[in-house]
Amino acid sequence: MGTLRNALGGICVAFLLLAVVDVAVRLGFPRSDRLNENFSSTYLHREIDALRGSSPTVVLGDSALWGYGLPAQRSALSLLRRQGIPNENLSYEGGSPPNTYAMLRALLRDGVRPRLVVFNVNQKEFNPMDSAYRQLHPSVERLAWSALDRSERALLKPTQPSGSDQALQRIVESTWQLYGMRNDLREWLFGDVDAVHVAQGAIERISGTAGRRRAAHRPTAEAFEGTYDLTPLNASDVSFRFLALVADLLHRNRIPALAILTPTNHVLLHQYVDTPEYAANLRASTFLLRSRGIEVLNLDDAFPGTDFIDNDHLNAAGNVRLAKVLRSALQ
Amino acid sequence: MADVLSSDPFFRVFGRRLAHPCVLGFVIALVAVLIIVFGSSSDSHFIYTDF
Repeated sequence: MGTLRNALGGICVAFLLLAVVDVAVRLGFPRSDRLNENFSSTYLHREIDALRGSSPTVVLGDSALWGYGLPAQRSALSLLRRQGIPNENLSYEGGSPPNTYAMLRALLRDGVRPRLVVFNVNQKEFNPMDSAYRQLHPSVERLAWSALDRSERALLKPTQPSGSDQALQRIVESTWQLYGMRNDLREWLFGDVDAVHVAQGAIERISGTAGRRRAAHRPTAEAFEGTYDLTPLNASDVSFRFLALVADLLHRNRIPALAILTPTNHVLLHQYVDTPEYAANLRASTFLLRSRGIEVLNLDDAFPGTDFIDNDHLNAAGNVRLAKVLRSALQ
Repeated sequence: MADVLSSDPFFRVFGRRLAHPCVLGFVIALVAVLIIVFGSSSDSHFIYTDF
């Protein structure tokens, strides 16, 4: 009887302590310059919640605006913020027009009415072979799925399995913040997706494997063969259809917007993108956006090859240049 | 069994303390937090595909 009482008492104390930790995580988990690499739906919900009732300049986009390959503080949007141009960078790796649309729907549903929306349009994301062509980021899917119409959902390929265990996991994640934000917590603590990756990275650095891999990982034009689909863009392209939905939604809600045609490395990709078909697709995107009153900033061929890490990711110097261009556009 | 355990000097010192609800609760909470912090990212959301 005494043992049972002690066990029950122990469980109660454990719950109490975990509740205290949970409150500490809710109140104390830091907000970052941008979404982390592996953000959870709980974290995203927390970010959107923090914007509720305000009218921020919101940046929605893919890894190009997120600042791929650079620390958060060296991305163009962080540089802009430090120069006195406030913005909320909700871009992430794996963004695309369907993702931009879903994020926008979630923001509007949750009472965030942006003063200005800045988003990028990356031609590679109109390629049905692109991983984000008709797929939402899993955390965005969880958060925004219910905000989408049935016809919009039908265009997308869900990534989240459904079932009773998933439903249970969602309930636990929504009530227990520490569990819901486990990926974010690990990345914050270790600077990587988890402790195993940190240990693995250290071993690879010591053994020289990491250096050899980096040397072998130089971007070549051949690596991007098939990345850009040059089929003329029209409503049969799901991603292009979502671009139209983004433009319509912004127009309908009278939200000013600036669309950036993503800087692309024409030196590296010359044989794939310096073609009349690619130029025609850029014009099609521009026409679609401008016809809905959205300002378009064409940066597609505005950066030299030395500003890129690969096909469309800018290095530190490229991000400084992008910040400068955006600064004058936003002012 | 209980007699054997209670005659063990280690159990006499630590076993009873461990059985105290506060200690037991602390250990359970600590294990839960450690599992979460050091858990695997097999449920990773990462979908970005580099070249």
